[in-house]
Amino acid sequence: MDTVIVTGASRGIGLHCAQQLHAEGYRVVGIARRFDAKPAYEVRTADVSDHSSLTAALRDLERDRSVYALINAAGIASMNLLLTTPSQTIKRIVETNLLGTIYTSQIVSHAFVRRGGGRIINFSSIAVALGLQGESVYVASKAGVEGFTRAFAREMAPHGVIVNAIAPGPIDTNLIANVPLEKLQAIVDRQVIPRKASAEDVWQIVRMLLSPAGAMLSGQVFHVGGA
Amino acid sequence: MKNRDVVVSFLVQEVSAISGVPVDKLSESTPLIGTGTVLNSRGLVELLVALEEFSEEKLQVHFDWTSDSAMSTNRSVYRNVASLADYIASLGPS
Repeated sequence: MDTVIVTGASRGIGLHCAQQLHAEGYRVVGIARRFDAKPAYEVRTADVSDHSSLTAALRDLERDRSVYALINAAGIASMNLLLTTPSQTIKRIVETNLLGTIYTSQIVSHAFVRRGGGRIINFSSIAVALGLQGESVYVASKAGVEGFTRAFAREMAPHGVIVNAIAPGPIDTNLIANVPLEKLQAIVDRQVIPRKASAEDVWQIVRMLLSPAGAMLSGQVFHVGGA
Repeated sequence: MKNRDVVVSFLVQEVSAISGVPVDKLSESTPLIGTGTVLNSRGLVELLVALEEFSEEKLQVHFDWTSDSAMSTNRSVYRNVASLADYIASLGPS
């Protein structure tokens, strides 16, 4: 049975993907700082921005040849003007969104090298393509994820590892719970498909990227809804 | 045989297996990175995976490829067979 590791598995897109992967028969290892409820799949607590914590949580999986894929869904946001954003918040966003993606990819790739292949799916945001006002730090962290995705895809291609990123627009998760509805609608209106996407829409892209259909796609950023 | 000699022997055998270069053409001075290396990036990663497992199973030491101590020297420990063997031999029991 193939194993898929999902970060940010306690809520939002990460939770939805973990549930769907479990339903499809994968062994799922969910990673999050905490889980409010015990899901049907295996969970481990770790902070993706803390390399030591992450290494300890994933140590046994580094040599597990059943590890097939990594979904880097852990992410945080703070919609503020940069001029009013505390430095600790800036640090926390970059550490979680960018360094967390890099750390997890580095650790889990040990298993992919041993297996001779694997798939990594990172998460960016439509905010990068649109350069959204009030999200400069978030955009910086996610733009970093996109750059990392393109370069790491080339680094890992000789090992049979495929690396892509998905960049959704607004989706009803806790991440945007405090963003005014009219602001969200304005973003949706700028998408090629002017409809608010759902976690299920994102899952369908994840599913495709994990399937044989994704075998020749790497180093790409997929904009959900189009940007 | 001392740990260092065991590691040198292992590294030469592995580099030969990965690169296809005969063992008698390899030595402690064989570069693992940079000019003159017989390994591409994939080969280097394969070598480090094998060395990690060898170190733990045969020498009972943990080899962390990314540790600060591995990268802190002015010249990388990965520069040749000798420098990498010296580094592994310097590690304490895990």
